Amino acid sequence: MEIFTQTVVNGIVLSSIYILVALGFALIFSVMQILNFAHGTIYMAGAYVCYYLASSFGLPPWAAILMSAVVLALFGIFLERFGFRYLKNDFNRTLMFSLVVIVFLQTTADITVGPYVKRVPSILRGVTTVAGITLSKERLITCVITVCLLLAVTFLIRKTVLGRQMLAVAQDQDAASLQGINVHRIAAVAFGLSCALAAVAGGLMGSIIMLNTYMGDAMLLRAITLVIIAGIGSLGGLFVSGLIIGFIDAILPIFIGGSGSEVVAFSFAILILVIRPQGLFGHEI
Amino acid sequence: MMSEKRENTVVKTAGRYGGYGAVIAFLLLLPWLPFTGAYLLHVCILILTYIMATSSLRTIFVSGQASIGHAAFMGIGAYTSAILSMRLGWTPWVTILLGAVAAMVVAALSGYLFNRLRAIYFSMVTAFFGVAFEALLRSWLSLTGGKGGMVGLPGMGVIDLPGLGEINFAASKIPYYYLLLFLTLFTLVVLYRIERSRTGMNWMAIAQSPLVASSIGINETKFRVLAFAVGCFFAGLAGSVYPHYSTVLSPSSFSLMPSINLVIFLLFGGARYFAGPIIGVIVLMAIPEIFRSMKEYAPYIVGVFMLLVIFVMPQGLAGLFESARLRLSKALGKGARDAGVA
Amino acid sequence: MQALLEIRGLTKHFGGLAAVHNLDMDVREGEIVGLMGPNGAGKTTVFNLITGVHRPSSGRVIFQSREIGGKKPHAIATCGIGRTFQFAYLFPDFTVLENVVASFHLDPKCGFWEGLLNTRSYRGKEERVLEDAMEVLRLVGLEREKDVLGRNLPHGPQKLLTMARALAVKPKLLLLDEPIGGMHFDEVNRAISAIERIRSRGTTIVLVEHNMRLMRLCERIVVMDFGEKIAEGTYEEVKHHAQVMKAYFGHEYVAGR
Repeated sequence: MEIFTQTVVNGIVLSSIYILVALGFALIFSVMQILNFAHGTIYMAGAYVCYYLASSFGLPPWAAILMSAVVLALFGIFLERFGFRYLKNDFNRTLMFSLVVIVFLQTTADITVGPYVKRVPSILRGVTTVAGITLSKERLITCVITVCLLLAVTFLIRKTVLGRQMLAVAQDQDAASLQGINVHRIAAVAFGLSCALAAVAGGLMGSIIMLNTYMGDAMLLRAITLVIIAGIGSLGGLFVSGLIIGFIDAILPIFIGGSGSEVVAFSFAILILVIRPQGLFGHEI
Repeated sequence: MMSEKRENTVVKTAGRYGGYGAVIAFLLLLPWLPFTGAYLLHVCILILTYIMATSSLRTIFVSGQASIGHAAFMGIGAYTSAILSMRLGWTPWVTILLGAVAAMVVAALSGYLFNRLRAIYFSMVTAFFGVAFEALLRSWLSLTGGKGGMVGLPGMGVIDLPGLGEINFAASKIPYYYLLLFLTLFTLVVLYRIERSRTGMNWMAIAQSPLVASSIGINETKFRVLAFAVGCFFAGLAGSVYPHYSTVLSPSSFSLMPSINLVIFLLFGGARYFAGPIIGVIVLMAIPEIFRSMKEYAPYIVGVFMLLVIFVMPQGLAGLFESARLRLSKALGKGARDAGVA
Repeated sequence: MQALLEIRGLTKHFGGLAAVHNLDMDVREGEIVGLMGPNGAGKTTVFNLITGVHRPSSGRVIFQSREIGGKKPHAIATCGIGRTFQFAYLFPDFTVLENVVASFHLDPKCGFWEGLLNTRSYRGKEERVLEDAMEVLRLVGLEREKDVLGRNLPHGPQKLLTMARALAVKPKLLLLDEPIGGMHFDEVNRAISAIERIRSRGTTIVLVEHNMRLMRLCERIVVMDFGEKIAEGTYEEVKHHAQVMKAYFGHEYVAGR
């Protein structure tokens, strides 16, 4: 029973982190039609900045995560303003630019902090017992925070004016600007929000797993897997596919190992692409 | 029999057959030159391998398909050759070819499967194929040695030349260098010929406008799969030789990042030009070597170069040569014919 | 005598809309047939159905006594049907000459290995293709622009090029979709001469056009509206057909006459 509950919690933790990161990626893709392949590395950078702030300046973990989110949001806005804006609709150059960002971030992380074996201090330490089952507080608080964030973002997109402006830009940039929507501002918001979400995810995950400069690569793959399975344009779909992949990653490794569960997850994505390219919930392409 | 305009600038500038001869002579004599040490030979072997891989990737790009999983096909070649030679004891000379064939067969099958996907969806599925393949390598411990890979792979052995002595691959890097040089030249010649033939023309037609191409009777599916299979054959070839040289093999060499590196080599050098991959590989491999003293900062320099290409010369380095040449010939008054009557 | 092209009950639905509904049409060898109708009448869809870009929802397309409905476009081109497109699609990065040379894909048949090995027979075939290509260019009147890049061509020659390209498959049936759309007066003359030359070589032509000069070339005209055939006959017969006039000019005009 204990293992079962712990696995379920693990599944929720992974799912919610994946959704958080995937949401950021999907946001930029829907709203700006830009594939930000550096997104995974932003997640990694969020974790590293968080670590750096906590260890060098002694910031309490929650403050470190917050600051990290702000830093990365600004960085994301900077990237859009001076990079991605000029590379729209050019897949090759977007890929190359993303790669440059990845390389810069990874090298900087390597040089300043060092490649391995660091961990972000957690917001809550230790374990707690719920109904006779031992659960780690880190995982619990991560669940709580990510779920709250996801609800907040969903609210933002669906119910606020800003959210609807973003939806408008996602459908047709030219029409939206003709309606008086400042597309550049929306772009900045999209990038800023996306990177902030990734940074928070990184900071939270950083307290559960060891940091390493390549953690972003795997996360990017998961994010894209989620978006492929869900399809474009469906927020709810992202939640569902996040749960699917999150639980695959929580459960399968017990039986067939980490690499085996990766094979399953990625093959599933390939299957969806071949059979139903618009994803399980997306609109027709 | 295509218009002269399709002739690649750098190829022309190299000075036709006279120039080629000089370059080839230089390459043949390289191991015996005074400044050539084991390390330089090692780098050359790497460069040649990457040139094979990137040029074959370009063949796929020419048909309008952007594959981001090319390293996985190198991996298919590598592991096929490694497993056959190590577990079954077959001679590497045969297993290398079988590796290439295996890569080609998988490419043909998956090419058919992925064929109806267009543009970025095709790229995504190739990327995921690559990633899934690498995960498969890591998980199948019994066959592939899992994450740790394989060690102790047989080298190319010893060749007895009657009357001339023997070529011992274990003795030094030089035989491997020549092997790779030969294979690379073979690859380049074959790919160049195909591209200049009607098949290549059909590929370019499909890449420019699938609708028009099919209206004149070109079977898009057949030619796309053909490009994919041919490209992956040479990727498999490139992938299968190197492990016998290094005697070790690990899945991480064939993951997503190496695939992306190949794409970067290609785009940096210029995907529209046959010499693009060659230039791209040589320059991008040379930079870290030149700045070896500042090894940690080398990635920054590569990054700066790439930013230059992205924003200033999107056609790649080869494109830079081409526009320089155009400007030169315009200045010399030959411009009118090249620029067309418009 | 059996018609070259027979269309029976051809229907195509897109979603709930019938773009083409129950069309019956015959094209006899050597004819020029015109296909007319207001925009949206379904004329291009008929072409697409014949050439395999769309699959028919029902009905049959029979070419030279063989069913071709539902086949893939490249297979249909191989059967001997060439077509142009309403928008001048061509290969932008190829020169005019290369555009046409590329279109000679079918004949003579060049194999993969021949090309790779650059055999003497291969080179011979390519020489002949070059000659044939130049001949086609002369037929449509584009031989002077042979080295211009496709994307640099002005609109009129672009349309001539699409005709040249369609001719390269040595078609028995040529489908021309608005071949002079967007051309100005001189270019129109060029195009009409080209079409007449093509016709005199024995190619059967089906023509979609709004221009009356071109319609006068046709022996027979089929008029469509809302996906259905509403009239068929010679130019004179069709000109005065009430329904045709209603289709083009509207109910009020006809009533007011």
